[in-house]
Amino acid sequence: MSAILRVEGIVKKYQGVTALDGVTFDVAGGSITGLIGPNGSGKTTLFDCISGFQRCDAGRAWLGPGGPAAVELTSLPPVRVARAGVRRTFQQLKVFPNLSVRDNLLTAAQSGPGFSAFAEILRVARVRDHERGLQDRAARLLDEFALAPLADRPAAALSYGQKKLLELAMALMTDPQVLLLDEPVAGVNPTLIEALKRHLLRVRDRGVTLLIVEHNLKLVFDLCERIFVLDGGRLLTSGAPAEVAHDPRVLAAYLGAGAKSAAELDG
Amino acid sequence: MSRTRAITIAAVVAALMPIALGSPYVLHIAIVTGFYVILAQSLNLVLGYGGLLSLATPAFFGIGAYAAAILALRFGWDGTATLAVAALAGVATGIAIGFPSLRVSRHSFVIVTLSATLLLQLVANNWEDVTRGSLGLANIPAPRLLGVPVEGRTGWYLLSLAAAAAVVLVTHRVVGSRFGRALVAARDNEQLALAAGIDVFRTRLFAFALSGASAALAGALYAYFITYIDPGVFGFSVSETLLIMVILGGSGTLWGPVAGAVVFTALPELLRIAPEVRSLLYGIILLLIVLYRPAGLATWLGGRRSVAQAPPA
Repeated sequence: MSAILRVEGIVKKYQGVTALDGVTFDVAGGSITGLIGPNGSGKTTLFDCISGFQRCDAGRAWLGPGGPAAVELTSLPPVRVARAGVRRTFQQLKVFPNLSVRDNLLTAAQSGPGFSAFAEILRVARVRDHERGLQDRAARLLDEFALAPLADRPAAALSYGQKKLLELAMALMTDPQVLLLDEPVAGVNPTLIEALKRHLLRVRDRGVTLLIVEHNLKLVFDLCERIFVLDGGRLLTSGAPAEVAHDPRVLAAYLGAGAKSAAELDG
Repeated sequence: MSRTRAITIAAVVAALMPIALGSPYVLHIAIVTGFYVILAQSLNLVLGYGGLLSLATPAFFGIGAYAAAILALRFGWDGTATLAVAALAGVATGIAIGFPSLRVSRHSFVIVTLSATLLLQLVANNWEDVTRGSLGLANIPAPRLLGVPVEGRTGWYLLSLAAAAAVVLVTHRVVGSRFGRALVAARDNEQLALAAGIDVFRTRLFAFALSGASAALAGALYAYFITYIDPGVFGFSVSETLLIMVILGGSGTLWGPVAGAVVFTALPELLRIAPEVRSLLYGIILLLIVLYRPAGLATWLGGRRSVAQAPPA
């Protein structure tokens, strides 16, 4: 499978602290790929650099395999990265609290081509058609994520777990090519973790590539085909779950020397 | 829906009251109230739905007033063209002020919008060839709209009412659209809005331009109605009054700022019955509203706070 997301030598410094120190890897198209590492190893910073929320000091990230069709993400502002087909979620769960659940979904699909505020306000025929399409899509996602009964409630009224589902559904409103998920199951109960897992697999089966930052290593080892391990802003190692789980360097990074197996970290 | 209908009927009845009463004084207040409804709605779009504490509304108002006065006095334009150009001048001013101010932090934004307004006031004071400086522009002729002269207080009241209703209607349409949702989304969580592909800067700039158009329209109507303007139209006290109307009326709701504009135009007039304690009473009423209706008068009208409702397709 060819690479859909390529990260090349990304460096990010904050006033002398090097958060990322030349990180390079490829994410295979259609895969679920994990990005793990201890706190402060640079995972979220890397997401910020790829999604345009931070400018990196060196290096690049590309969407798509090589060639002229590839999009250089690291030169784009967040809006353009999102419109190019790379959507992200945040470690700190974010939804629009005052909008209804349905409007959260509709709002998450602003990036339609040719969005014109004038046309939207005048509700020209093209806009009405587009809006109907969005409504249909939102309805399907509401069903899929079991949020339909809550569609007209403000998002602020949802439970934490429901907000997590909504966040994922929002990211899917525009058919992204790549989803960057920052701790998709953090703080979620075990039953919902299983549900989220099934959702993530289904999303992957639709052809969306997932790059997941997650501290729940069991989930990462269960879901991911390939795992990259960051430590201190550098790529420590990478490989299939079984390789990474038994790599002593990974254990050392997480726990210091002495632990037996990363697979036991999360039971 | 029935609630909306009830509010609408009440609004129509209330709107016809001044004509029924027939008092020139009441009509005058009612005409000015219409202008304030437009201004409050203009600020509401930016402050209520956009979450941006803008002090630029008097800049739009003043530009509209001067544009109308100059076009009518110097060039003898008729009312329709003048109002249209005044609104466009408001759009241009909105973009000109929004472009730099929306790029800076929230605190700086307040200062930049205030500075821009004061700058325009300085220009109005000093560009005497065009504005006659502090002497102001007097004897602005009565406008003709689509060939119909606007005459008498009743005529003016109907115009003010129609303009206010049109602005409320357009605002309803705007905030119920996908554009309106984007504006509210950017207010509620700018980072998530960006991650969702919303061009936050352009969305806000567009809101600013719309806000400029309606406030400039109010300015032009005001200039025609009073027939005299001076650099005081750019005054900070307008911002102050509007902030009270929008915030205490219910910012981010459609009817709150309308209620705010009506209440806070009528209240000082009603308090004239006790001239010695007028300011004191006004202050006490403000405090009571802040204490008991912090989300604004709109909570009485049942308006949901800042949730954009889609218009029927």
